[in-house]
Amino acid sequence: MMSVRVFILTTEGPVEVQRITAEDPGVQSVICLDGKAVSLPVSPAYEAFVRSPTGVIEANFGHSAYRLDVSERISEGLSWQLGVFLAHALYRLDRLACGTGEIAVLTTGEVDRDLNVLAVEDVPEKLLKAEALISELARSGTDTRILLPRENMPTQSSAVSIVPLSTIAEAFAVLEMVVPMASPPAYMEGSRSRPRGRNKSISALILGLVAVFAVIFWSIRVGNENGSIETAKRIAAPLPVPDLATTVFETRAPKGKTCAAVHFNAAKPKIFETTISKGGQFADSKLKNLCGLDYRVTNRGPPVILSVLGVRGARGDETLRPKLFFRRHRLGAGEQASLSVQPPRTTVPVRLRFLLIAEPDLESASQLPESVDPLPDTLSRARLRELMTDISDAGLTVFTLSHILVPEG
Amino acid sequence: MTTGWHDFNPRQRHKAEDVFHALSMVDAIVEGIEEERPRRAGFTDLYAFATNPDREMSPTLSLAFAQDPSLEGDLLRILERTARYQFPKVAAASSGSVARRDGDQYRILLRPSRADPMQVYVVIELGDIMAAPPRTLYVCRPGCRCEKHRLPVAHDGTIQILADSGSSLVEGLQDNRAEVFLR
Repeated sequence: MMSVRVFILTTEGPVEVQRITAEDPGVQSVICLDGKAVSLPVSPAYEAFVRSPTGVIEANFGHSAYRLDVSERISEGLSWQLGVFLAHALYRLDRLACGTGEIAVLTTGEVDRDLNVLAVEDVPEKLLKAEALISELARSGTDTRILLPRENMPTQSSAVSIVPLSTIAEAFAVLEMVVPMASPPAYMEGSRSRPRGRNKSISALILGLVAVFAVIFWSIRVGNENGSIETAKRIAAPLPVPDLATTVFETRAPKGKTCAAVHFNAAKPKIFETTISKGGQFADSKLKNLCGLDYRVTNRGPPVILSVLGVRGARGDETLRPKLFFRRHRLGAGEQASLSVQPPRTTVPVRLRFLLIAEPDLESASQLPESVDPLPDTLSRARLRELMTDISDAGLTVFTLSHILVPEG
Repeated sequence: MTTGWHDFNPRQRHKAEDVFHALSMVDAIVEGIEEERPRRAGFTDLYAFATNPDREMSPTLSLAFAQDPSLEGDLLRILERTARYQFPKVAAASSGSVARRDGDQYRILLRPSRADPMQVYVVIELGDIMAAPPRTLYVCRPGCRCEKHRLPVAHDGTIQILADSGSSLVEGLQDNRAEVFLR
């Protein structure tokens, strides 16, 4: 197979992807300059692009931490994503070359979670800055291809072949790549959305298994009751993975005032915000002066159907108190869902857990089965553990969030 | 009798403004000269170095450390009182290179890069994401001057630095005799 050099078009000039190395999963992915111990400022964005659940690299290639070396600085923006994704695919196929190669790909564009290629800015300027490289590649006889988002196609003709892209699949076709991916997305089968037949079968699966998604919530509780941190779980999904961000706002009474005063507008509350940690766990909250909790779930991806189950319990409780916050609630792109929780009166630490079940907003709808809706007042752990065994291959995405409330003293 | 601004005519006011500007300029020039004169480092310099992330080791302070070894002890005492976190000393039985330092609020891990074994990831995991992340790391090795390292921004509860394995940061963190502070 032919080796391919990948150049990322930037307004400062083309930047070559020199090398990709799978790093220890315990580190965050970095983009480094020319093999040096210099982590570029775009590294946090690269980490987000790599690691699940936000990233697409781990979801498609199965590893969570990489180091990617480039020939020049990339200072900002996300237009490196298309080139970086292609470089990862070529690395996977052992076809990524640097310095010399049979094919050179010059590209710019963003990549979304469904592996669509999105338009970027300053493309004419980037192409202008690449003219010298294009000439050099032509002189050396290198097969040079420019891949651009379809919306960014130049109106004037070019001496070099410019290929418009709407999806990563089209880029793979141009480069004659068949890439083994961790969970092949639907577009690989020729469509941007799931094929209907498959849709139905998955829906049937969903119908029987949605209930067991709740099990993850509780079963993890059972399994990790003595652990301080739970991991947010994502069940391997053949569908586009929903991109949800979670924040909690704590409403607290000001010093010297009570929550009653806050509730009756006699005191101005203090609001504190925190986002979820990497491990799917909020920092512990002290119950002293805590008047209310407002969890916000923001959909950062395409529309999803969201169901949210909450459960509350103290350590050692055999029965858990569940609550269904949302039942198949449609959450559009950029929309937010709010879950309000009244802090419990308790003398022992209490763990609140939320199970976010997200489905792509497709025509065929799944249903929450009767075992989940209506919910019984209590659920035993044994029952939930029993259901959990059936969930591993389900096609939905489930996130668990955990928040420990600690009484004063 | 005193003369006020309002007693001046426009020409006099203009002259007064010229004189003010000229005197300000002289002050600025003289101030610069005086700053460059050698002076003794005081507690303020030491405290600022220990507590202000933006304060580098000044030549004055560097000279003071060279002339008075007891200043190292003073700096350690300030760090012990003002640091956000002081890592427990690594057990004496631990010999040679240290690859991790565990505390109850933070953890420092040294992970060699697979891409280049001569480079190391310094990973600082933050236990409390509610708290403001530390901005500075101090590594104090016996017989050496305490080194101050500015920390990058935390992402997802982690601060990560990629450094050469021979850098003072990595060598300091690997030294089981070194004391490590976060501020």
